[in-house]
Amino acid sequence: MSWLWFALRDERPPTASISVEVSGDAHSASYLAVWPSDAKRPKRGMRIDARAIDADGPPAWVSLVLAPPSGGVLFDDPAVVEATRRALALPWPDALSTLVLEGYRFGGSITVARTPDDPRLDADPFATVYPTLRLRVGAGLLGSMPPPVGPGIQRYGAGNPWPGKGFDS
Amino acid sequence: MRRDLTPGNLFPDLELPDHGGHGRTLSELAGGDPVLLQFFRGWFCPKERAFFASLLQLQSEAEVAYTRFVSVSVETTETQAAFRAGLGARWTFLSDHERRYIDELELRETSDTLYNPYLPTVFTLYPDLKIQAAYNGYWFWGRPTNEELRMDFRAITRAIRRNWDVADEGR
Repeated sequence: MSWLWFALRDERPPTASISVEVSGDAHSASYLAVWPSDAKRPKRGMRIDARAIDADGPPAWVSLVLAPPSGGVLFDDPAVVEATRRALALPWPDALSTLVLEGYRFGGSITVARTPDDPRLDADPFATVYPTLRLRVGAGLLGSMPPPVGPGIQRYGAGNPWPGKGFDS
Repeated sequence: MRRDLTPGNLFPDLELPDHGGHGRTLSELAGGDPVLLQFFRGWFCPKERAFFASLLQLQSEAEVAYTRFVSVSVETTETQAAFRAGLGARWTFLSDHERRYIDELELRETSDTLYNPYLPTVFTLYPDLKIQAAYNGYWFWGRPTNEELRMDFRAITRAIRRNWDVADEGR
């Protein structure tokens, strides 16, 4: 399974392999950043499907769902499971990944579109689990990924984010 | 149906747009998991809707069983997206609106010269697209029951998952 560390930070993290400024929803000077999976877990770091990340990706608008700092519900919580089903049923955005905390907790999700009025941002099913931030993300971070084939809602190995590509990737 | 679309042979690697318009290949869609590959006439056919009702029941098991579903018809991507949403299906539909593969696979339903749809057919496939079973569903009772599909997926999963018998690990 291919995943990366991912975090929202108030300041640009010097150790990140990529960090891009974001704005919107009271996050006027924040940064989304990624680190390789073999790096030590960064502060507030969560696992993200590596296919959502592209250093050559164009600017994006995202719905970023984040669990409270005290920790998210279990990944297999019925609320997360039902949101995952809804994500499969709805039109797929440019990219979507859940975010995993500590290997077994739901840390949130990121839904990626290229325009602020894309209805797939408003329809983010994971926003039923925790509040969402609507952020504008600069170029060089977020790519596009194909929709999962379905109907699978299970992660490919404990600790990995959904959707993931498969057991052998 | 083409004579070589039988158990043990490889299914051709189709390349078609999905219900969202993304180009996909069957091998990419398989992605290491067992696959149900269904060819169907179209949303208009009551027999297809009856069979989809059965697949929707199986969906609630397949969603936790690392098994993928793919449905193919000659409808446009837009029509498929609407049908998929109406059904509540959470798997991939492929559109062969140009009928690119219908004759190559010898799956044209010759008795319907109005829509020229696919012959209702179901294949269960290994991740490398090797055929486990093929079901000709022209007559409704030729289609697989969910119990038959469970048996196919059990056989495929047993063959491809090295830790199927976890009790044997470490011996």
